[in-house]
Amino acid sequence: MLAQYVVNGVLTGGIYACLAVGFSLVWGVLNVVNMLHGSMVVLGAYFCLYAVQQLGTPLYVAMPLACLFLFAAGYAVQKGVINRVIGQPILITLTLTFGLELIVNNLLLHLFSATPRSLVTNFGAIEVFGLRIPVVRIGGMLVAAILTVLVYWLLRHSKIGRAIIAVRMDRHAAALMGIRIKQIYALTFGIGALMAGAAGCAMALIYPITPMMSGLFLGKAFIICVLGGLGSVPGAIIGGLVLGLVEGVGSVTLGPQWATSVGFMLMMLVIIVFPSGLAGKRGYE
Amino acid sequence: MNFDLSSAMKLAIGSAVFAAGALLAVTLDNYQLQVGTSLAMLCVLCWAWNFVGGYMGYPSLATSAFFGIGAYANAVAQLHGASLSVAWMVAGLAGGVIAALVGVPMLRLKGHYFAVGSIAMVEVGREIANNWDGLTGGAVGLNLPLMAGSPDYVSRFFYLAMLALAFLSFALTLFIERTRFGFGLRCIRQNEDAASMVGMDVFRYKVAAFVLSGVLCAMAGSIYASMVAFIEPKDAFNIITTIEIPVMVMLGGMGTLFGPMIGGVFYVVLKEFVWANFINWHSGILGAIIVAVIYFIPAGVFGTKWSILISRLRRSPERKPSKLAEIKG
Amino acid sequence: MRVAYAMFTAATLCLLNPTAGQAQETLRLGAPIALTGPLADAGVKSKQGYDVCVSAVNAKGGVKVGGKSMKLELVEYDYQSETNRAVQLVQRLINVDKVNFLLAPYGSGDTKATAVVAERYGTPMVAAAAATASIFDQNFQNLFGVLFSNSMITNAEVAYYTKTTPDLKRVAVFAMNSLFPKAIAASLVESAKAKGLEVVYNEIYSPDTSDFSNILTQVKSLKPDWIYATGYTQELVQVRRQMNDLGIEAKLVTMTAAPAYPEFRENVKALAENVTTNSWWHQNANYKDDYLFGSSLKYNEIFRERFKRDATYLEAAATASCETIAMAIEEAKSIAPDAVRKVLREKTFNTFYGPIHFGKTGQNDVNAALVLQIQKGDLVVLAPEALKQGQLNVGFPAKK
Repeated sequence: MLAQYVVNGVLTGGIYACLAVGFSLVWGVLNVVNMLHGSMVVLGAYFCLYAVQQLGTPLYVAMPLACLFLFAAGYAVQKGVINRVIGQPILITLTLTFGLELIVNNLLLHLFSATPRSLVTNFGAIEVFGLRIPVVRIGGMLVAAILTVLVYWLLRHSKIGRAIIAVRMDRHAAALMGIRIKQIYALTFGIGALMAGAAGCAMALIYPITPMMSGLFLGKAFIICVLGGLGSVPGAIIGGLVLGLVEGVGSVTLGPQWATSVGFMLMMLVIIVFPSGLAGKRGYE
Repeated sequence: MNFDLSSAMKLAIGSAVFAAGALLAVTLDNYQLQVGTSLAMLCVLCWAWNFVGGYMGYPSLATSAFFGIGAYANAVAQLHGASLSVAWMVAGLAGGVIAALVGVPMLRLKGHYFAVGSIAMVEVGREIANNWDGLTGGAVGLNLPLMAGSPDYVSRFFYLAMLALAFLSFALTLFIERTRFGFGLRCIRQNEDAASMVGMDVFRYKVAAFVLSGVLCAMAGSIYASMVAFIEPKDAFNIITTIEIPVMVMLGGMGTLFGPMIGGVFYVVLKEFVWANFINWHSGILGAIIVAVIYFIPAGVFGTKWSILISRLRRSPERKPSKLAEIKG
Repeated sequence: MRVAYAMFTAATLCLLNPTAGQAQETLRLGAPIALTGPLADAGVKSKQGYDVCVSAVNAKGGVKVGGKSMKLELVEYDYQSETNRAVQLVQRLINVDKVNFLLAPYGSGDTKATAVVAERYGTPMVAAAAATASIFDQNFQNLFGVLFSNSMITNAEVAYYTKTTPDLKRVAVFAMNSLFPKAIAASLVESAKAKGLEVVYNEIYSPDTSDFSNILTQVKSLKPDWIYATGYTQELVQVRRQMNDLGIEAKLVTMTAAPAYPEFRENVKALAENVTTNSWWHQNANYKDDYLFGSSLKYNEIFRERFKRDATYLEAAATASCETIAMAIEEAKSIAPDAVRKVLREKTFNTFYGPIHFGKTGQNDVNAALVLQIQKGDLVVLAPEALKQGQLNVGFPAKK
């Protein structure tokens, strides 16, 4: 039975990592705490829901479309609004994105209402050595893994990626080298939004979606970034897995009512003791 | 302490405003008194935040944590038979003690990390209140003993109590602005390392500011709890409030004397107006207002050099106003 | 003589003149409603319930107060699911809008907090969504609850299931850490123990829980006969899905309160089959109502015509809370709070919602608990015997 708990924790952790990857990227590169992240995930989820349920598009088409849509939206938001406060202290950027989040959340509430909606599928579960592993959760982990690999590859091996890293390392030097800073910021934010969209589609398969979920998703992303290290994408994976496992352990040992509390307590402990996260990486890598 | 003519004038203006507020208690109806009490409460929280976030430049999001601690400490004290004033003192004390205990490790962090740590305080506070049934009643909430008296009397009482606390916060801010302590805080904001090199005991100043902030927030929470006579975790440790407070102070001007009050009043008036007229879109419009404030006057009403802003707007709309450098932490 | 004649004419004209009657006040019911925020889903439904009542009463010509008729008016504000705002709004409703009576907000905590204000001012307030006894434990004279207590529901459930399910011995309970779900789970544990069942698991999960795999794994390992889960739609949909993921089987699965609402079935589709639940009201109970609507079925028809779906106990309770106030006023022949409060305390109201009698604590003490099961996608009433529509399908999940 212990094995099932571990499996549960890892699967949940995979989902969480999926949520956090985009958030971590934006935080690390732009130094912006994107309070909009949760709503972007929900937006991606609704996009997929709408496409699949109302328009009948198959999921594997809806998901990339959602990603594209969110990329465009993220790019626009960054270029138009957030670029203005790049480099400002955290309070300014946080409250700006908080304000944006209020707007988007209100829009979502109006467009979709508060009633929960689900993408009902029946992919079932696979049984391995007496352990049950639901297929959709593996899907969630796969999405997270693919996203991470893609981003990692993008950042290391493409020109755009190197430009992003350069901007993070030294904004002024990068500008002197001819990199268009505003463009890079917008691009990075767009990528973060894209990942949020992909995560949203995965979430739509697993959870019933309401506009209120944005707060929940943002909260998890926050904790994971702290655990894994602000701005570290592999750190997001580690952070996600740790959170999934810790919640599981907390649920079994302290009782389920403390399951979510241990996440926050761990976050507080980690930020005080290891501010750069359990992965030990400072800044963006 | 450096008490000059300008301080005296500020004290006079502030006192006049509060005296007027107190006199209004006679003419306002109970609903207006309730709104006034909420407003005074927000002003207290803004002034409390201003010590840590405004003067000292540490982006604290822990306001609701201390507010909740104060509310619950007060409730528990009252339920164990303490009188109202004793319970309020207990709440303030609880806020201060916890601020000291948590502040010592947490004030070593800066910037983003401090902000995250402080917001974690609110979440942890809420979770503990939710789960520690024996002490806090858990998710069910706690009923406080109802204060005796007619609704008119009760409304006036809490209004004046909160107003008094607000005046205290104002006076403390004015006082501290003029002392070495306030000067020290401003030094920390500008350059913490330099301040430390010059021989200031930076750490002690930080903890002191944090504790002061914690005590004031806790007392505001305790008065609120007694007034509403029922508290629950999600209400006492409210995440939205803890983010709104810095926005209010920013609106008015961080690190200024009147900024928190003006910001608080503006924000509440704005919020009420929006809520009354755009009932379905009020949170969206509020968000738009916040975005607009950050966009155009990030230094707030009192922090912005309006003449420069206007001349810049007239000259070239694309130039980023350099007054942003003022608030760089 | 001419003066008397003139006065008589004037008086008659006043009585006959409809505008004179309308220039008189309307009867104002104050309602803080959660139109936004986490409770928005339920808040909007409550409002729909209130609207149906107000329309129906006004269509009849209004509430008869002694000689004249007064139109009913709902004064509502959005309290954004925030308790302190609800409290402020009740102050506003009383002081500024000068409402005559209050309708409590949806959340249990919000009801308790606003009840404090209502009590201070002596304004009777009827709550449509508060079933937990602890809400009524403050000895308030002005708080009235339409929903009867949780223990009545759980006693009915335990009684029915022990009779109809062979070998029902072990119960596993998990509840959301929020006033109502926690309270009804506690009631169930009491009821179950009283009937000799063994409670093998009794835990609480935090309201932000999105993953139940660990709780369910623990439950699965204990092999219970009966699994009882409480929470709201969001959580229970997730619980059902994860039960499926983990392959959980039992004789009986009960969930409170989501399966009573259509959203639950929409979100889990085929997985809803055989899930049991309970309710305070169902249209098939077919209570008679001479004051409005005629019967439960007729009420549901009116509701369905207006909102394109069946009414659940949530909307019906909202309508009933407004209706009891109207009925009490007519009985008291006055809108004075003291007079109406007296009637509310003493009278039994026969409504489409069933008989409502506000007991000593202010909560309805008439037991009309319904036990239901989802069969072939529809809610079927299993108990009480008089209203039964079908038999219990034992075994979970449902065999294909």
